[in-house]
Amino acid sequence: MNYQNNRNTCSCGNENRCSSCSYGRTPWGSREGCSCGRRPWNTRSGACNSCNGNARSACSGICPATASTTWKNRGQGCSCGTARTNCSCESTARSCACNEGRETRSSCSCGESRRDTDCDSDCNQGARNTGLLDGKSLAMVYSPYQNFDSVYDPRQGLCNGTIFSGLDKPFYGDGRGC
Amino acid sequence: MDARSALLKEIQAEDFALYETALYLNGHPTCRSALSYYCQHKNTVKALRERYEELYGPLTLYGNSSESCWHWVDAPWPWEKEGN
Amino acid sequence: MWSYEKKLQYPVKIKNPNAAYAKIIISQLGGPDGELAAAMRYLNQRYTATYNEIIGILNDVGTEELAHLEMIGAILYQLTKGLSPDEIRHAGMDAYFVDHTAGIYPASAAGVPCDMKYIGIKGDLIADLNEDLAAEQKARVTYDNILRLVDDPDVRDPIKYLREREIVHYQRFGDALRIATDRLDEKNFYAFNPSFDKGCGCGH
Repeated sequence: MNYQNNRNTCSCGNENRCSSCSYGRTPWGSREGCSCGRRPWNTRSGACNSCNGNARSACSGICPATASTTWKNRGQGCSCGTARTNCSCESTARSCACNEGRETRSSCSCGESRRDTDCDSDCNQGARNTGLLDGKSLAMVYSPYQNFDSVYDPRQGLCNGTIFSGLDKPFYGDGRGC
Repeated sequence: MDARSALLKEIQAEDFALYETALYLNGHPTCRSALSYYCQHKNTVKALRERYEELYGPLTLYGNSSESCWHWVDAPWPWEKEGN
Repeated sequence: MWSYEKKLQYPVKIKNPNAAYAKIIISQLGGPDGELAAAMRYLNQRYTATYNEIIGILNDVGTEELAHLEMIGAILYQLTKGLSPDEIRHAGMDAYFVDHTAGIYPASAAGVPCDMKYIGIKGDLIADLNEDLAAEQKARVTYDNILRLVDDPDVRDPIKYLREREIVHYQRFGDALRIATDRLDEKNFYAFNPSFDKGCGCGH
């Protein structure tokens, strides 16, 4: 489905532009994946991990305190439109539906390195984002949220200086072998 | 390694896992995986500490259980080799 | 308020005293990027920080730095215990010895006493968190440098542990900054200082 022609069924959550939509996305009505801040969520089960710290209704991903459902105002958690498969630290079974079709697409997708000839007219020529940074404003640095997974047992954790394998970064610059 | 050092190291490991998780939870207070990990290890730590204090003396100022002796200031101290 | 636990966060058991090692490791006690400076930085930034999660991070990372300060003290104590004046002189620790004997005095490897000029407390949430990110990286580099200069595995072991903690703290401050930017108006993060101003008052 060509999202440029059917904007109101675009799955990005952004009603004005679909520049980060990828072909192959299913319209909102039939999507099952969890995504913070997106609508409509009436058919979803389970709750998104957090919604800017505000309470979220069990079956809805709408953040009550946030009027906008665009990506820019979403709180921590899953961001469909990036290459992630885990949505938030509470559920690793849930996957974002946004990844569908990405691997096989031939046209430009925000988050991949772009060449001018491959970008469609809505993509920022030469601009590079990782998907995680889509829509983020300039003049700031952004740290990705860490999931609570890949945890060492406490003994191993103490030995390594962290229980998180993703943060385990030893030093090899002293030439004493890897 | 003697029995006291071994038990101390177990407590250090469990306390460490709790502290790491608490630091994580400060930034992700609604993360259920982290909360359940925290609760689980909190129970483990409690049992280990009770055993240690019974055998080797208090780990905190509030942990002295003898009514005839103040063990809080017993050697060895944590910065001494023998205290590890 | 602080509680004290009668154990180190990570064990320190050094079999061989070595004044030359003590001379450089002391920088993580009283040097510009050492644990004392770190603890003072975060624990004092707490008061004017905003958002509970960020206050919690400053509180608990700051507390952990005090535990690391104690570990460095333990390392220095064990490295200098039982040394003779001759051994101290040969290691080049005589200038320190004359003023402090084998006492543990927070100073840098170059002999400069710990100074609050090392820390930044700007009273602005975003500036303070960026200061903290930089501080953790500088501390990590200092530990890298210690690992380049020290061979004894009994010493390298707790130093590697402390180095890894700096990397984890860097991520935690990254979380804090992300929380701040998620809560502030992304159209202009600098419209006002959440640690001081009551708001922007200009429609933001």
